[in-house]
Amino acid sequence: MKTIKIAVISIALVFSFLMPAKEAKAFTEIFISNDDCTITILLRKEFRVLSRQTLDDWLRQVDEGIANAQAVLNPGWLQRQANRFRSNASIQAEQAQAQADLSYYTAARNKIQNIINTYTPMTDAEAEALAQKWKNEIETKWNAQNYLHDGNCRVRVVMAYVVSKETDPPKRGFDQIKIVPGDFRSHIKGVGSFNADGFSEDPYNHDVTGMWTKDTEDNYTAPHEAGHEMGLNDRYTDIPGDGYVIDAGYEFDLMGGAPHIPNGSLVVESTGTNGLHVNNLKTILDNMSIRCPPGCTPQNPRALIDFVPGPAKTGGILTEKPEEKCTECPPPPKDVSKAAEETAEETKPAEDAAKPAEDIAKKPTETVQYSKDKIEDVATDTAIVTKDTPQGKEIDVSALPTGKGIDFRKWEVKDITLLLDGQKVKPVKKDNFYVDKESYFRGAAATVITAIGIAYSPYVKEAESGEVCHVTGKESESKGKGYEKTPAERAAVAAGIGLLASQAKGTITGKKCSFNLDKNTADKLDGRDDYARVTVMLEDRNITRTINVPLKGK
Amino acid sequence: MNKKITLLAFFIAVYAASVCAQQQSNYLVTIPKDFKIIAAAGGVAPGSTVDKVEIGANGGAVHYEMSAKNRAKGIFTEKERFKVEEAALRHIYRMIKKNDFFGLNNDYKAEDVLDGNFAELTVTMDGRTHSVRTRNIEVKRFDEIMIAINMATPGLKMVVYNEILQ
Repeated sequence: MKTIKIAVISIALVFSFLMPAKEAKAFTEIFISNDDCTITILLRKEFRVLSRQTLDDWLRQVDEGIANAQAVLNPGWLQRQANRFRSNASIQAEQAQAQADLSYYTAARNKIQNIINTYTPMTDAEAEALAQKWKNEIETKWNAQNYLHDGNCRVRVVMAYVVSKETDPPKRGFDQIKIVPGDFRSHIKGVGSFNADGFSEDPYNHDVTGMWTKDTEDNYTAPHEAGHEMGLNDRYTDIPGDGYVIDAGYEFDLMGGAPHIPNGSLVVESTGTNGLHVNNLKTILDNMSIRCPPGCTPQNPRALIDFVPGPAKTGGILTEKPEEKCTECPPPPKDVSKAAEETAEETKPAEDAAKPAEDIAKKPTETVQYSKDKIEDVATDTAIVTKDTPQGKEIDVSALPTGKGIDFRKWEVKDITLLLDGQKVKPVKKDNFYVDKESYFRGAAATVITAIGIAYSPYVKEAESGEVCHVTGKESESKGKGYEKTPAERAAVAAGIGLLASQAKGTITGKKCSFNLDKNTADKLDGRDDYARVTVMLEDRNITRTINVPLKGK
Repeated sequence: MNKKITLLAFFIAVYAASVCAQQQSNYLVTIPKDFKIIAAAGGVAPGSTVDKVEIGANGGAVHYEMSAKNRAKGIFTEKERFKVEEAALRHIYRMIKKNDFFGLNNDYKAEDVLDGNFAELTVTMDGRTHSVRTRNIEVKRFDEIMIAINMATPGLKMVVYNEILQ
């Protein structure tokens, strides 16, 4: 039995090492905004400038030629030929050939080296300007026809980018595109397995790479390549020796790319000469099962909520929505602790910990709290509901962390515990919940409060009242039965708030934990030295942060 | 017995001499009279250009270009004529032999690369003709020959493509 146990453990260990490490992937993303009925297709690119032209294989070839020619011109070689019954004429012919070859290889080497030495890479400013130009071309071409998906949702294609040095490590979450000179030909790599619609899900599942030439003079190459990054296939066939053929019906289509049509005329939605109606955005969204939410009416998209993809830059680099300023705010809760990355030591909350987050509703047996805390690179929204029970107290805590830029969705709640007078209390129940980005920005308080229970959603307004910023609103009386809802109403509230029961593409993950305190433990809850401790983690970089949210006492 | 030994020694000497004679010619190259190369490279997408160069056994060469406008029908127009020096021709011939061009497949293609470029080479020599086409894929034995051809052209980059420029 012991042998079997050891064998099982060993096999498990072996498999754990064989499992591929979790790694961040770049992918094209599609967001749906219920608020303004907009569907956004987001492309993220990291452009790198080719810093030098190496031509290593060329140099290797000529160097080998030089060595071979020199071997024949070596005096030792001549000596060996004299011993081999060869005529002088044949020996001289061979050496003459070697001499001519040596001259050729030497000259070729100099020319190749000159090409390498005179290669001038783009400057950062030039690369930035080119990236911006491509962004403008892509967004203009793809958004020009104002397509309404399902008749009611505006669709927009947005390109976020950064420009990096060739030697910089790749930014996670960004497709890698090399900017190359005009000798090269633009291409995209990593998209295949097209279905009958000419669509591939590859760009939504993994990194895409490519090369884009800086000397492209037309304004459709970048939008065409962007089409591939959204999953579309080419709509032409290259015929060796005979040119190419554009797929029937795609004569005016951006993915067919007929040069006889003036550059400005290649479009995203067109009708071909055979009457075929081509709608690339519809193809993309239908194949990705994206539907316009019910009840939507077309509206002008509100200002895009953007992300900082690395160091803040101007021009095309999206920036994070600024926090609303509050002029008469109570002081924020202090950042009382931060988990060290190097040590596993837990930090005791500071003695002068901030006041507990204000409770927003107090029934005779219930307290609801909301807090928003920011520590460096992560913000965490926390809701706490404390209920008296015959056995003691029941406390529910929900937390939702978000980071900046590309780490926006990557923070997760690692752990929620309670600290009552220094004593740790573990949860009896843990659940995940999911929310889409738009709903989060519409109301983070709504999200975390409703995650604990639909019953508490009426208190969201207090949490978000204009009189407070990151702390909850004033107390209000118990609503009694007024907030009881039917299952259908509860579902509608959840849908409206954007809470999802299961993880979907583009959602943020939160955690809800429940704690049962017996009478003795519940008696310790007096509002002094009592906290809900939320530990959040950025897993792919192994960064942990801890937030202590003060608990309201008796 | 002595006669047998003498005869054996004679045959060994003749054999050794013939082996030595073969080894002498490893460097010396004679270009076949029917030697001809047609090399082309260019973009795959409509609207891209293609270049082609033809080189004959005497080193006479012609450069053709297919403009974006003519890309649909695959029409080349002559751009210039030039002479490839003998040493360059020998180097191309050596690369064809070294890389066993006639042993390559006719077609190589990367399935997950869209747009990009292609390269084609047709070689005629010693009564045989063989063609190879690559599309967005590195084929070392093919690329070595195309590098040699490019080196022989004015400017060194007449029929270049992504896979030999990196």
